[in-house]
Amino acid sequence: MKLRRPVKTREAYGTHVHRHGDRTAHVQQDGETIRLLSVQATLADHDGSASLRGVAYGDLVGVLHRLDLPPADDATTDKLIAAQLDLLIPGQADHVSWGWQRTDDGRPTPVYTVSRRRLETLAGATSPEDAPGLITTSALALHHLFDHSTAKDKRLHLTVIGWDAHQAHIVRYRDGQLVGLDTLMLDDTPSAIESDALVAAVQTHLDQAEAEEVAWSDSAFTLLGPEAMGSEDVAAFEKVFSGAYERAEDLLNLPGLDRVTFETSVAVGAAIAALRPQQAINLAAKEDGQSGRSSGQPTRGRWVVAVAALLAALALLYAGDLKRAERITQAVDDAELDAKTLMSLNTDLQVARYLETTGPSFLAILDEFSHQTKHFTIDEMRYERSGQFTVRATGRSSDQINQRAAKLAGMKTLSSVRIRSQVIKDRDRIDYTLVAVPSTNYFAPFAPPPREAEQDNDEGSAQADSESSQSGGGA
Amino acid sequence: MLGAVLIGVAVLYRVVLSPVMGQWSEARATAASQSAMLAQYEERLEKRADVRKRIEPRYGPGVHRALVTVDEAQVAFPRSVQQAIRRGGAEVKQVEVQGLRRVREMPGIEMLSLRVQVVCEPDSIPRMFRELAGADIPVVIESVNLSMSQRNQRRKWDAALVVSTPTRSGGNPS
Repeated sequence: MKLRRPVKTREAYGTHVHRHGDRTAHVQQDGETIRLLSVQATLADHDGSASLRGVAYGDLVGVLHRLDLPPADDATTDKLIAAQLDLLIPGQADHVSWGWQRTDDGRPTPVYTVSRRRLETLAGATSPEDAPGLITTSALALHHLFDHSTAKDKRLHLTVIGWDAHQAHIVRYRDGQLVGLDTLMLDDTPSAIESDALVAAVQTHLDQAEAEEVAWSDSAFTLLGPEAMGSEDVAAFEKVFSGAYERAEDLLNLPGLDRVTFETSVAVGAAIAALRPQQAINLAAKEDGQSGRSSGQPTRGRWVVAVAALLAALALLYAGDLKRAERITQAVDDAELDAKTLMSLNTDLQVARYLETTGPSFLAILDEFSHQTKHFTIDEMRYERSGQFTVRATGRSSDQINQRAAKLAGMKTLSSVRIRSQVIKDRDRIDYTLVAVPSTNYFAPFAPPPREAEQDNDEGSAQADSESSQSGGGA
Repeated sequence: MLGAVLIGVAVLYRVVLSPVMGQWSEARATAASQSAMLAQYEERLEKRADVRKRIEPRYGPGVHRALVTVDEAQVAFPRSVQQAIRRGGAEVKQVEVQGLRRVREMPGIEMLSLRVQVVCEPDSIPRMFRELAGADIPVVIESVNLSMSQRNQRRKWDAALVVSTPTRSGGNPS
């Protein structure tokens, strides 16, 4: 909303100004429809100057703020107001729509409205300076307008106000505390049956416990309306609830209390409430029905977005699966992968494992033998991979032969070393035969051990031994 | 109106949704089976590479080559063994193909055995076996018999070797 041009004559636009004390309401009449434009209430500062004003635009939540600006042309005024608003509400360009009017003395008064979401983000403000302050709803305004009639000594008190052929407002108090504000849209029924509609409204907005409590004689009702309640209506109402009935005579007796005046009164209440921001915000959170209606359209939008996102995700998943299948098939084709290839690979693996587990190679035994038995003269050596390792040699004494057998027993590539035979040929010459078995748990002297035999730490030292003897090894 | 909508939905399902769902399902099944096969293949490749890396110092670079068939090995294996022995400084006196032997742990594989008679000096013995360990075909030393060529003549030794190599059964070259 942006009011660019000053309104010269409000009546020319069907706009009427109603004042009640320091409260002013603007309503607009368009044929038979009367629309509330704005309501203002002014708080006087210490020096008596007006500083804050509240405004309510029907269902919209709004704020009126008066700025004292120097006379300027429209464009400059726009910039001045924008700068001031940006100080008051940071980011106002995204959240606030505003317009302005010139006052009687020619100075501009900006009017800006704040979105409900913006309002909610400001609800956490801890100090009045942080919050815009002039935020309210028409329902809360009713409460402030008629709170003087609250029966604080009654357990349950209903104030039903503002009903006409279209709607009724119900203000509920319990033990002197405001517990609910309801608005009910009524059918277009003649005023003669308004009371019945009102009864239906009350019943609709009360839970079972409250309805029973209403029936108690100590409950109280306050009925206010644009037209004086007739005795027939009161009787009908009392017949239903069997309770006391109070009339706010002072308001009903306001001069010229017609439909427009009543709207004005509501607006004044809104303005009063607007000056109590904390209550206004708290109460706004209780307006379940109203917030439900206002969020209907965004909810449908969210559903559309959710369904579109779901379809997009499915499409992406579908395309991704197709692409993945194509990529994997291509990889399989590139590798010429089939059952025959896998079988061939299995065979290769079996052969490699077989070669790995064929025990120590003869070269490894020879290396270690040479290293362990220096100056050891042999006559014959036999090796069978899956059999025995046999050495035939000549020694000078049995002690020497035993020592050599002990050295062989210390070899890692051999096990089960024993002396098979000793034949004394001369005084210092004995022919003997040593027999051993190639070790089965020793795999490769020149290679790291396989994983399952890594715990055999001795293997490393044997490997070093064999490697060290490679240059000078031999029988 | 409702009937037209239902007919439209049915046609849409028949023409668009059903083929797309079928294609999707087929793609997922294909991807699942092929990826499982690919993963199995890669796992076995990795294992084979690991084992071959460990046995390469004992059997030479031949472990990385594809297995030869029996027919191919009848020619290549004796030649490879003789070359290795000669590189080691020994003299080959006789090479004789002993035959084929099946191994329980390796179905479809047969070990081709050779009997080799060698004459060498003592220093040549470790060199000969080292060269055999580096031959271009894996050589398994099955048995060795080292003895002096003549009594008390330690400068010359006779060596009788039985060596073998794994071969692929059947005549098809790998």
